Amino acid sequence: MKRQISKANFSFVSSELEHYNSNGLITEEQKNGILEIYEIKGGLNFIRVVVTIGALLVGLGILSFIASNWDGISHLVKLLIIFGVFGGVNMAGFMLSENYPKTGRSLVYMGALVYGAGIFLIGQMYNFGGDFPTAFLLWSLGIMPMAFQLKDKYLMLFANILFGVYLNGSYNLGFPYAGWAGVPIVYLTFSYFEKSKLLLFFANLTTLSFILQITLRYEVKGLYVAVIFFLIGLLMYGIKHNLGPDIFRVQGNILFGVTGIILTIPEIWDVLVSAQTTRLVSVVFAFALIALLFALIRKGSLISLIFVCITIFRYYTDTFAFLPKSLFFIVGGLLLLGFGYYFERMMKTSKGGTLA
Amino acid sequence: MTKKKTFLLAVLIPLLILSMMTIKPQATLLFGQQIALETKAFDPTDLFRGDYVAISFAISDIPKSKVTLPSDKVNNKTLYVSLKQEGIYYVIDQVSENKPKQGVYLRGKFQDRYNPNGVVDQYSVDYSLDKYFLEQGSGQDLQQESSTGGLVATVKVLGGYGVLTGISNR
Repeated sequence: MKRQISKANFSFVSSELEHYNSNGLITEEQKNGILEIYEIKGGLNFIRVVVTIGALLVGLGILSFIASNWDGISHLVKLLIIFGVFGGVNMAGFMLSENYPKTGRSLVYMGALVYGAGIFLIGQMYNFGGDFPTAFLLWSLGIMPMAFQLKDKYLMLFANILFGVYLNGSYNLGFPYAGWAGVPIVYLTFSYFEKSKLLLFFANLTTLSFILQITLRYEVKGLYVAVIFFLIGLLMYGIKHNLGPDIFRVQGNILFGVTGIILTIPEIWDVLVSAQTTRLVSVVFAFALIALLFALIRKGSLISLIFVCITIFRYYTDTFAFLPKSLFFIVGGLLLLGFGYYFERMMKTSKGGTLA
Repeated sequence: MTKKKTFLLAVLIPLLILSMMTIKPQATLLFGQQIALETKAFDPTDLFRGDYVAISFAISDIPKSKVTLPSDKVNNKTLYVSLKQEGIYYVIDQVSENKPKQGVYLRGKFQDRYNPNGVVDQYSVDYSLDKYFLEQGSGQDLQQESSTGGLVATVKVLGGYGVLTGISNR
């Protein structure tokens, strides 16, 4: 079987091979021989895109129809229509799956939206109060069986996102206990859905928002929340494993970058130190953060570079006292100059950097 | 199980969830006791459920003096509010931690309410009955009636669970 790579990678490989060939490093036959072992991976299929968007439009139309609460037909009839349409599109989707797999699958996606419309219709029928985050939990739960049955990572992704909405929407309505079950599920099923990086990315986001909900539940002080997420970010970045390490590194890098910058705000430290020393502590932290970021930049982390820039900018906008600001400006500029020097040297010793 | 059966199962589970969602409110509509509550209304929109009249009940504001429990057992807790009939409306009788043995009562989540001096003198209670959904564009009339005088909300109650069934002017 041929090795499958993306279209962008294939054109990169072929242009490099062309370059070797023109420099006389390899022959024309060798070049063609190497290109033979590759095959461009599926990518976007036009028909799939068209039918999927079509199905989503119909589904969203039905959701909007329910929201219009048109009283030309009664709630009960609407509910029966929802049941009928849901059963119908799924049945049709199943029957078409043999000969028209793309259209068939898009009908199943439509079913997922129709099911959601059913949930909100019931919310309307009985005038459920509150913000109704349970709707998103039930929506997520209801489409998960189909995601498993079809091994469809996009359906699973949708379930995952809905679950995230539930977690983040429950703030005023008690603790989202379903998180204790839902968070393990998104990881345990990771390999079932062909180790999709997309799913892993959202699984991590779900977990992080659940941890945030736990800290809110126990009314953890802002400083400790930021410190916890800063440490989680460092762990995500640093721990070696083979569960999609590049995803973890990028997310970890962004996480400790953002929380690190939050920790440079003096006021956040007032739960730990006296009001007079908060500025000192935050500045010490900022220098430690910059040092860490530079160490990572040296290893080739471009995201860390962005956070160095943000930190400098954050101090630039911090105050209208122009003299201290001018100092920061000059220091920041010198830091960047220093970085440029490092980067140039890195290129020279041909230690190419990566994104994270 | 064959592929067809598991597919069928994946279709049935969502339908089962939808059906189960209707049991408690439908049972309340069928077997619950009807009560009238004094309300105010205004008219916002929810992205998925459409236009609704947001309402606040007279029984949602409970003065601290009505509650005999210590204050740390009230804020953020779900308690039972017993109601008694006075004229056409049902009003607050008493607040308890445990389910009352008899009478009409509603479950609600209590929240401290501060007066301008920063002292808790009231609780606001969320009975999850704060929305009445209606056809888009038809909420304005109710809102106007609400500003000129009180509205009456009819609620069906069964075992502390309430379903809002209608709003009308007095």
